Amino acid sequence: MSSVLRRTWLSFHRLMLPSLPAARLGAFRALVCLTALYDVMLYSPLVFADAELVGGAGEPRPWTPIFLFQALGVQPIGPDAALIAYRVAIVSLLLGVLGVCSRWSCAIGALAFYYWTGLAYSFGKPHHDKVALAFAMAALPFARVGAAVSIDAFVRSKLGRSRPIEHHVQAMPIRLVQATLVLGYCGAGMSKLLLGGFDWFNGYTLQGIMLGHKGQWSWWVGQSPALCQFQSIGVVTVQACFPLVVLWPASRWFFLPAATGFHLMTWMTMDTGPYMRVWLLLFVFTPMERIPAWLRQRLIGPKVPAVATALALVAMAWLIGGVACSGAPLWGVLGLGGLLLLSFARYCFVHRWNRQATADTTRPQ
Amino acid sequence: MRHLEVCTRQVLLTANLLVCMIGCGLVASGDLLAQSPFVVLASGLQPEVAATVRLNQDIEVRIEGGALLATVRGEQVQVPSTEPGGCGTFHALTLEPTGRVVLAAEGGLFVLDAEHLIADRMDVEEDLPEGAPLGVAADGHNRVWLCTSSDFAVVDARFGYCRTFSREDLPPGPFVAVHAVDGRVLLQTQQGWFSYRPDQGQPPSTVDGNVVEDSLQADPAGRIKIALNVRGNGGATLRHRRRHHHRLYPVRDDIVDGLRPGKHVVEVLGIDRDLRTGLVARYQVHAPLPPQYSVVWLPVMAAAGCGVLLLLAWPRSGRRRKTRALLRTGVAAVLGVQLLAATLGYGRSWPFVGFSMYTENYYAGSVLYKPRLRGIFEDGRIERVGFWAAGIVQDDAWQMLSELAHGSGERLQKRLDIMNRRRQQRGYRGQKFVGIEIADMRTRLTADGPFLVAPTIVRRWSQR
Repeated sequence: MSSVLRRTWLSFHRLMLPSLPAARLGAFRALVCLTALYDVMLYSPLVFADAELVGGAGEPRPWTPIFLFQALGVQPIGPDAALIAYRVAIVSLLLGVLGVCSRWSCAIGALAFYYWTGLAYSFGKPHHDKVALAFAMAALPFARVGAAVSIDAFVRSKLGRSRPIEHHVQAMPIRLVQATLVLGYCGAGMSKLLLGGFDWFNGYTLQGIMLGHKGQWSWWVGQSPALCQFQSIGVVTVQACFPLVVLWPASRWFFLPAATGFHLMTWMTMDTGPYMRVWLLLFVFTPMERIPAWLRQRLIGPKVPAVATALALVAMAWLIGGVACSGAPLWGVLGLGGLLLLSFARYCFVHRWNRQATADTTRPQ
Repeated sequence: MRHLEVCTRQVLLTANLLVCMIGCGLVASGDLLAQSPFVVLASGLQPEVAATVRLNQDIEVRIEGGALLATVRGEQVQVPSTEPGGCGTFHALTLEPTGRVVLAAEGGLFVLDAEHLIADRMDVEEDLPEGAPLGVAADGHNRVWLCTSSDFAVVDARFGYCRTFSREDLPPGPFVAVHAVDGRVLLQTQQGWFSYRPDQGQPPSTVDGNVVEDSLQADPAGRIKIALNVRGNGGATLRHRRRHHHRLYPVRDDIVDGLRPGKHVVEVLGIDRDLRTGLVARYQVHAPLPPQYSVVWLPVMAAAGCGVLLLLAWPRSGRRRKTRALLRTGVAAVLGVQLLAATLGYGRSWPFVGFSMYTENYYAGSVLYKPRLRGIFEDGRIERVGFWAAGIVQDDAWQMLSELAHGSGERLQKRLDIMNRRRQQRGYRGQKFVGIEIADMRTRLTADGPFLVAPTIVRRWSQR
């Protein structure tokens, strides 16, 4: 019995607490903190508006605290306290992005993120679009997230203590977020099958969901019950079969774009908002530390794939930048875009812009 | 008080009868006087029930030979409907003050308006009297009066609840048509016209006239038991509304149900035969979390579970055993609770959430609703106003709109001021809003595609 238990825990350990390249975890930290930063900024008008009303500027919305707040006895706050919480969140998450005192900044950023979100949700409805982000934020301090792609690592390397880019570190946050996303998509698909039943696929259900939310394309996409029926099958297939991304990694080439496309479609047809906090985190299924090399290889390769890659990059940058501008200031988005571009250019320069240098860096994992 | 009401009614009935006797020499039977609030209408006062209504300068709707026709900019068209089998023969139509037309047809009550020239089934929460409505009449108090051949009823045009008059209160049928004029409702029977004057006497109230104020604890199923002694013309029924919710739900067997965990303000309204409402009770209700979500026991149980898990996960050998055990336990616990939440689906336990969203099914004939806030200009024009532009912070639109829908004129005036101020801040010049309209937009799903149909105007208010 004890040997079975031991083997089970060992398997669990290998699965959920694996050693992965520190660069991947570092990139993941930066991505998560950036996404959380965008989220905090996005929610700030709502939280500040509620805080103003609590402060006596009008009739506040009903306070129905989330369970966490109920258990901790958290109460609504006024505008001054909200401003302090906002500043703490912004500073700690920025430090998290840059990787300064990485684990501490991520821990404080996580607390601030939970508090900020809890305030918004306790005055309104909790949503699903940042569940994975919440678990990612909570998990970051429990791994060596500053071992690479961070100012911490840069300082350490300058002091000659280590060469973090070659390290492998325990990467529980990555696995936890992968599991959360898999559970989320699969749960959404399965609940439609189990609670909605076959009637969910009658076409009217998806039509009703789309038109009930009135997105920009709802009226056109939702015109035909037959077309909606076809879309229903597609939606549930992608959601319910999403766990294949773990079991069959090659399927990621289909499921990751499909899931992103699904969110973009719900944005247009259901006015859900862009859901960027979910689909940006889908990068967690990719070997992020290899993306620069992969891109470099594509861009210096045959012309047609190179042009297609460049166009896809521009489109993605435009999409992410455009969405980010809804919450973050334009100068911040442009600054970050410029920084990423410069980093990539430097990477290409360091590795020489030639074909030979890419020999063994693009093997998929 | 009761004696006074009876006397008043008798006096009114007698006076009405005398008018009738003088007018045409008709003599009503003593039985009718004693039992019915209806009085015979003098033949000289009998109305012409119009079969045509004009919606605006361009559109006129009329019933001709049982069919519903419209004249749009001089061109005659047959009005379509969203009913799969059609509405059947149309009998009567009436124009509400909100601009919506209510149609009485073989298949029930239907509505349309100038922007949505398609007959669509009217939202009525409870069963209408059996049989086809033959007559329909709207008054200035958001009520639609209707008759079938044997029944007479009134429907609240905003929230869809209705009340059917008891047979003892009615003149002998069969009934033919209804007409509303000058605060009276006229019912045509085969014997002639009868007049009914609604809203007589006091609106519904408790027997002692006070509004009951109390604090109650809901049971684990989210219900409270209430005991109210309420009176109203024709007997009072009760409905309740939770603050920040716009719907009025019926109180059945003295039970107010559907209260989710949290604190609520529940208002109970008495409703009389004429659908007049009166606040009779206001309860501060605390609906506790179900036992499985106790803020004390759930963390305790979770901690105990984690303790057991930690023991099981403790490595027998190797380095940094404590860290490994804690990490294993933490990750396993988080995944376990995520799975549990996925099956239980309690939204406020975020970030541990269920996935029951978007699992409600729709069918051909389903209606989709979308609340809208609109501003009314001096010249009668109406313009949609975004919630943020009206200074309304909202997640669920009705959360804040409901208090406008049911609120006092003072509250609406404040919102109107905010709307005008913000409009000015955004650089709009010219006319200001002088009123507010809250509409529940409706979309009907059909096999031929979705149709935008006449919305329900929940409230239209203009400043003095």
